Order: sequence, then C-alpha cells, then structure tokens
Amino acid sequence: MFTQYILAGDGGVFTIAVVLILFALGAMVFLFRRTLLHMLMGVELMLNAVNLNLLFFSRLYQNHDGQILSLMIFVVAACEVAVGIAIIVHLYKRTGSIGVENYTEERG
Amino acid sequence: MDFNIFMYLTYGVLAIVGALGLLIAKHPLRGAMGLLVTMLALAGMYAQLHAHTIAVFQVIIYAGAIMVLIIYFIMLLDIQSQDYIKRFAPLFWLGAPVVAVIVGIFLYKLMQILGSSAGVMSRLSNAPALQSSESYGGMKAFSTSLLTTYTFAFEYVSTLLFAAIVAVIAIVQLDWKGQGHA
Repeated sequence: MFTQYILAGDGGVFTIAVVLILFALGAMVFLFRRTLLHMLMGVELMLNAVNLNLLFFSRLYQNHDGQILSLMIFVVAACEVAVGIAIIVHLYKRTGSIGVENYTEERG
Repeated sequence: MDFNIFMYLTYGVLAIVGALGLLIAKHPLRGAMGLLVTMLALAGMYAQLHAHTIAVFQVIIYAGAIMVLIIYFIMLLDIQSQDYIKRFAPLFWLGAPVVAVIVGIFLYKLMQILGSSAGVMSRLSNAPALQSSESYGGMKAFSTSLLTTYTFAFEYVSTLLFAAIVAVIAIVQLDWKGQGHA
C-alpha cells in the first residue's frame, strides 16, 4: 500500500510539489537575500531539491542511475561549499562585511 | 492512514518549513538551522524512497560535514549585525510574487495532469515497477552499479574534488599576498 501510494497518484504529486517548492524557495533565498552566506545556503537548498527529484524518479523506474547521479551532486555540493567559503573569507577580510552591496569595488 | 505514508508527508512538510525558516530568519545561524532541518527531513524522505545509501550519505555528508562547516564558519566570522537590518533586497517585493505565481501555475498544472488516479504517474508506476521491487535499493546493487557502469564518473568526480582543493589554496594564497605575507 505504501509503495503504491508513494509512487502513484497523490504521493507522486506530493513529492514533485515538495521538490518544486523547495527549489523555488532556494532560488528566492539566492536571489533576494542580501548576504553571501544566505546565497550559499540557497544554492545548497536547490541542490537538495534536485536530489529529491532524482531519487523519486529513480524509485519510480526501479533504476539505480538516479541514486548515483545524486551521489555526484553531493560531491559537487561539497566542492561548491569549500570554494564558496574560501571566497567569502577572502571578501570578508578585504571589506569587513558579508553584505552583497558592499562589494561594488570588486572588479575581477 | 498508513504510518509510513504519514511519516513521508510529515517529512515533506518539515522540509518546506525548514526552507521557509532559511528564507525568513534574520541571522545566518538560524537560517542554517532551518537548512539543517530541511536536510534531515529530506534524509527521511530518501529512506522512505528505498534509497538507504543516499539517506545515510545525506546525514553524514550534508548534515554532518557541509552544514557543520557552514555553521563553524558563521561562528568564526562573528559578523556585526548591521548586515542584517534589512533582510531582503529591494527587488524582493517585486520578485517574490513573480516566483510565487510561477510556482502556483506549475502546481496547478501538476495537479491537473498527475492528480487523477488514471493520470500519467500511475501508468508510469504500473509499467516497470513493482515486479522487481525487492531487488531495488540497498548497498549491494548501488555499489555494483557505481563501480562498474559509472567508474569513469566516479573517478572524474574525484578530479573535481582535487580541482576544488587547488582552487581553495589559490584563493588563500591571494589572501596572503594581499597582506604582504604578514
């Protein structure tokens, strides 16, 4: 009963709705918050939403490819956080702030 | 209602609540806590979707490594509060309704197309699924597929990790040069 519910009908619609809302919230955090930390966390949220989508369709088609792709996304997220935090530390040392609007003098 | 279904729906709602906390909370530390709630709830959803390996990795890598790194870094910066007096960019009040309308249209079409029991989703799941549902999930099938079919992707992503390490070292050296090797 559980498998039927999750994969078909209401459960599938619920999962895809959660994916959609999480991705939209991540995009809104990335676009509209004013600090670099929030932008970084918004990207993480979008990657998590994509992971949920991959795993749901992997379960739907009984295929492991989606799980492996989601493992690759984990690695990409780890790299992105490492590089992003290094850049934020660099900018914080230069300007003493993590607000995006204070970086108007950064040119390349 | 089946207990598994109840937990699945609860995890989904909890994930959305955590993401809303990230969007709304003023201080980054509270936002990070909201993101942590989202990640743990998503780990529960992965486990319900029979992706046990990925659920464990979600807890270990995302909640255990990446979020700890972000929270440690927020603690390390000790940022003054004037960055957070205004929460959103000025375009928020223009852009947020646009995003909300787009999401609403998508959800409406989703309900329209997939909502009925004779919809696309149930036909999809009836065709290939449920005949081999016992062989799906678990560590053995996952790792066999990872280390045979996807060996190149596995190695290539390790190259990506190495490139990220080199990039971080380059940025840190930029910092040292800026301060004259102080």
